Amino acid sequence: MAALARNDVRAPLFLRFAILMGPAGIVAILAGWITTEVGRQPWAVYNVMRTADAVSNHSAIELTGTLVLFIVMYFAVFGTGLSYMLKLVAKGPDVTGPEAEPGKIQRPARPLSGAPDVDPLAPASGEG
Amino acid sequence: MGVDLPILWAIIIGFGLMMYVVMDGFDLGIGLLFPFIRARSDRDTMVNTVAPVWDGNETWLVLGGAGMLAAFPLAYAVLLSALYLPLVAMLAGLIWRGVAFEFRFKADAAHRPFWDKAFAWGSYIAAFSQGVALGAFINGFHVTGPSYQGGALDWLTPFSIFTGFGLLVAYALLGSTWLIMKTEGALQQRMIALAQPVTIVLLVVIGIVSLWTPLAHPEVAARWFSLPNIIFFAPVPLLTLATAWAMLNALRREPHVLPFLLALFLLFLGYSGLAISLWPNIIPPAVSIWAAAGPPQSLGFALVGALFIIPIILAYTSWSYYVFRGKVRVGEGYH
Repeated sequence: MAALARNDVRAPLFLRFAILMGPAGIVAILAGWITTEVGRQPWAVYNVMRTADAVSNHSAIELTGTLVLFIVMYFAVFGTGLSYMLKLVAKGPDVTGPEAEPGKIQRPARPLSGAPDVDPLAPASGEG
Repeated sequence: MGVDLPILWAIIIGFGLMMYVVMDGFDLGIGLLFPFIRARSDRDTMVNTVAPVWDGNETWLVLGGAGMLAAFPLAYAVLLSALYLPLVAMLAGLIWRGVAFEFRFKADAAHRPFWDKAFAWGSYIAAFSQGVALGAFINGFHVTGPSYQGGALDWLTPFSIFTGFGLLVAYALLGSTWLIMKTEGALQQRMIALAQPVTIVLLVVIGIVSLWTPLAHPEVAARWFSLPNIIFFAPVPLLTLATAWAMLNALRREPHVLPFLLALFLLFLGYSGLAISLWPNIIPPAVSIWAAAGPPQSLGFALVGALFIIPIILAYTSWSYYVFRGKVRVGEGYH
């Protein structure tokens, strides 16, 4: 614990802890959600309607198929988004670039701007 | 109680759904027009015209759905169950085109053609499934008591496939006239050329649906073709013809805003025609808004919230359209 000096936000141990906290929000949401959904069984509406009485008459095949569709799509879409974000993390914050000049507005890169923000193929913008 | 709450709620949900159809209609239309425009800079401009507003447009779908859950729980349960597969397909399409909005600008150059395809295909699938769901809705559902009793594929009929293609045409007209308003130069000329045949095809589609529906449903025929209804409702088809004629005329002179306004009016007329055919049923052919309504306390309670939030949505929506008004030029964009 000697490395964790008081108020030093660059202490390695603190930074590692901060990385671990990244997914903590998602874990908390999922854990809370699962607790509610499992906890109120066998009721769909507590003490009013049982889950068994609330189900539609769609077949298991239909529901499995659409569930698999969503899982595959979410992995594809979130996976791609995550890979763009990791690319941005790997690039690191830009503290010396042209944006750091005085008089320029400095702002963090947007979550999905892992690829260059300015499209090299696009012609220069016209007068607005 | 002095006010007929179910009628009030039917108007709110009907309004929300119409706002959704016309607003998401033109931005889905942008995706539908993608295959006709190959140049990357043109495609970027097309997407840039809707980038600031498209996700706000989908607010109305959420409002319609949540409003139906609050006011007409029976309709919510039956319709969502009966239309499960087309609505899942619609959501899948909306997810792909939604992320494509961001990713097609942010992806590595090698991935961009993929996200362009995702944008176009997502738009086609979402728009087509909405049209199929609409056709199935007009056809009606098999209901006993509080639940949907039909099969998983009851929505699949020649009529619903036809309305699926029909809605593609309607959204393509909204999209192309939107672009006539928002772009200039070669892209605008291309859209003017496209909008002409699309208007004619849409008129044919509206004509076929207007004949097919009363032929398949005697109660719809009775609604339209009995006296004195036929006199009261005659303005709907007559105005449709007049609007299409005005559209073709407007497209021949240097058009700007007018074609888009006419396209909105054409969609409004089609929507009115459907409302006339189906009123007062919320689950055709037999469940009315009064039979499907929740308890008056729920309707009254939710109405307070709706009357607060709808003016706010309308205010910020018009504000964002005002802020991003005018032509969008090559290279300009907000993401």
